[in-house]
Amino acid sequence: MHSSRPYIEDGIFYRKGESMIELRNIKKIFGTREESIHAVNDVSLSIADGEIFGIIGYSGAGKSTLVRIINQLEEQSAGDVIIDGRIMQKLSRKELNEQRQKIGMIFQHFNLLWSRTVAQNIALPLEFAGVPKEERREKVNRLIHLVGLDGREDAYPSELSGGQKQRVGIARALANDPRILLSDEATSALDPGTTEQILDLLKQINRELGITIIMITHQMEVVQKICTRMAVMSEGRIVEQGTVKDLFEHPVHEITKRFVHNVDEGQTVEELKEELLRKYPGSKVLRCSFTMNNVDEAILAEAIRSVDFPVSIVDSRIMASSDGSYGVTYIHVYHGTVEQYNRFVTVLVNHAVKVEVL
Amino acid sequence: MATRSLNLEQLLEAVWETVYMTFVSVLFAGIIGLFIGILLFCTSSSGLFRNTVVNKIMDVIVNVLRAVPFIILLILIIPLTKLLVGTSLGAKAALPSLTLAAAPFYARLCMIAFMEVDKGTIEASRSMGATNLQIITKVLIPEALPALISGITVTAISLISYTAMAGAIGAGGLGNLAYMYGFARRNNAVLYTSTVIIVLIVFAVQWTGDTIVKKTDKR
Repeated sequence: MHSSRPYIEDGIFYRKGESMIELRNIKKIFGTREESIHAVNDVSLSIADGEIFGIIGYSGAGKSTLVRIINQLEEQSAGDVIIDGRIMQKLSRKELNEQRQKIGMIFQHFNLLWSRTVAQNIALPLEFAGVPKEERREKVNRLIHLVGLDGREDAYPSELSGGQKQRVGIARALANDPRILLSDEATSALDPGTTEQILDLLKQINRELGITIIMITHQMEVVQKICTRMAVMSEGRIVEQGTVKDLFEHPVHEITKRFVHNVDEGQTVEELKEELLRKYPGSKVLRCSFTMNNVDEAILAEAIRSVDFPVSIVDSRIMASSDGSYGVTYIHVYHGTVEQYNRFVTVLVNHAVKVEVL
Repeated sequence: MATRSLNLEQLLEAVWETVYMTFVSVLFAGIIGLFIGILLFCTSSSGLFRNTVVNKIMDVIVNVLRAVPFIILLILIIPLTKLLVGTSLGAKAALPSLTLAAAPFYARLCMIAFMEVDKGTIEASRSMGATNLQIITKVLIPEALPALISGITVTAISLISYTAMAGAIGAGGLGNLAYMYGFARRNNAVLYTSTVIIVLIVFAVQWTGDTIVKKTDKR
């Protein structure tokens, strides 16, 4: 869209490649005369070209409003939105519409037109952009193939499953070759299996087409699976941001902890722990966290061998994320001397396993 | 009495007049109503280009026109009719009042149809960089089409009964035939035949409308 030379606009120095999306002190106030609500409260973010950035938060945290400010479906009350070096609120109506064509968006409820077939739905943004008919047909065919809907081009949305509908949504969002894809809870209405498939597709699109993706979600699994960096939103503010790995391993803010906790500790572990401690008073349940550096080593076996120590594995899971795997294992320790126990834990800790006594 | 018999030529002419009045007034009322309906929807607080002043003015006009009973409207606008078609008698003279009565009614139905369109599709279109005109022509109208068609069906059926009323004050058509020849001259054959034909026309319109709605609705 722009030359790669650095340039200055309004006294701000920009260089392409630095960041694709720059939000500066964004505020959005919804107000009646009596009271005003800060839906977004002083949010600054910088999202790099080509990354998949997750914004996680509970409903009402302001994340949907924030993402709509990026493509100006909502106008901010204060602050600047700079996309690929252009200040959004300075664009004329026509320029804004052209810029929007380069920012695709997908939605929780897909927002397809029921009156149009799959192919016609995908062609819609091309019609808006004034693309000639021949070119439209060619492009639609390519997109249908990209999202894996070959043979379904003449189906109506009512004949499709949720996953297929979202594939149409993705194809439609990609029609005008956007640089950015905004995903507003795009997997929230889908079952876990379909969610996985859609996330794989988004990852593939990011890799093959180099599109910057912003994922708005309340599901930690989504962020964990495909995002490289993330921000946690609560009450209109970003309370914590960083790489997914850092936030997952060392969550600081209460809200972040709650999201991380939800992923690695199901109700069943809690319940089982209670039951075990009741059954074997004086025993211990350990929570051992493995990181990407040691998850593939046989540390547990080594620790058990070194002390000849009876343990049982209560629950164990490995979670794939965009930059490696994380493992969490719950171990119940009920026999053995204090010395044996200490030695066992020492072996684990020496291999950089994080051990907590529950 | 000779008047007890049924004059076929007279009957056919009356059928033609009714069909003509209905068809032309549906056409005009449809175009004007759709336009006002779009304006009402788009200027509303949730619309594409919010404009409270225009919205309120349109709203009042539509409500006033809908509140005036048709038989009174018919008489009230005789000067306007004379201005537009040059006469206040005959099928043509009924057109302005029929259109004026049906257009606000259809405008309301259009507005309701547009309100039923999924807001998400409009938001999605805006996110794709669509202009307001593109949203109206490519999203709003196609997505509301079944409701717009069933609305025009309902409008056409009320217009058929309006033509009968217009007939009573000299517009011709089946209503005129039934009233002047059937009722006033106590010719039951004419009265019942015209009534049956009107009912048949209503059925035909309803059936056609329903069929088209079914064809266009892909939900």
